[in-house]
Amino acid sequence: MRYLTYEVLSADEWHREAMSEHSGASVEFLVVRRLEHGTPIEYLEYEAYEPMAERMIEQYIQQAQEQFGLSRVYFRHRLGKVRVNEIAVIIGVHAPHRDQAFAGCQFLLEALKRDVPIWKVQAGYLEPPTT
Amino acid sequence: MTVQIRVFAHLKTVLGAETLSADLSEGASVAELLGYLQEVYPELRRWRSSVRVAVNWEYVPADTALQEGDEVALIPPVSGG
Repeated sequence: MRYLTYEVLSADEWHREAMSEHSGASVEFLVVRRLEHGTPIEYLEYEAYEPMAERMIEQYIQQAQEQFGLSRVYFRHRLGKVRVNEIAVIIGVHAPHRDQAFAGCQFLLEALKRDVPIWKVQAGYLEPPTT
Repeated sequence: MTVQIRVFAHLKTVLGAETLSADLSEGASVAELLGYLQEVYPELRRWRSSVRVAVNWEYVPADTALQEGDEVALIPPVSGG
């Protein structure tokens, strides 16, 4: 899998890619969760329809590159059990200008949250959720 | 014809399985498959309005004709990120 992983994520690889650019703007969006529905958690567990999710992310990246002129995109989503303070999502983009970079990053985030078949299937709460 | 059905998130509990198969008449549509599933699994009716359907990894409308061997996925509202 290219964009989905069960391994712990680090932003270091993306930062090295971003630093290798000589000009333009880099924007990143990280998801690190500590609460779910306002309640402290120990972990969140994600599942995906993996082949479809991989294909959709690839299609949205191509669309974002064309629409916003992105020169570089780094997209990773954790699956399985993601413990508190671990990174669940990294979306990093680079573009010639900052408005393109911000818009491209937001486009990819909204696409993820709207269409990509990934689900939070379980939360491990530190205390019973208050509902 | 037979199609394979993939089920995700809370729908696995509703249908009691991660994968199913269904025998349908030739040229049956996604809507007909959903009708069949709702007869077999009445609890699915509660979720029908929020479930999207993908065939062979692409979202499709309900009038899409199915073919032998298609992989159909029932996609409840996604919650990545």
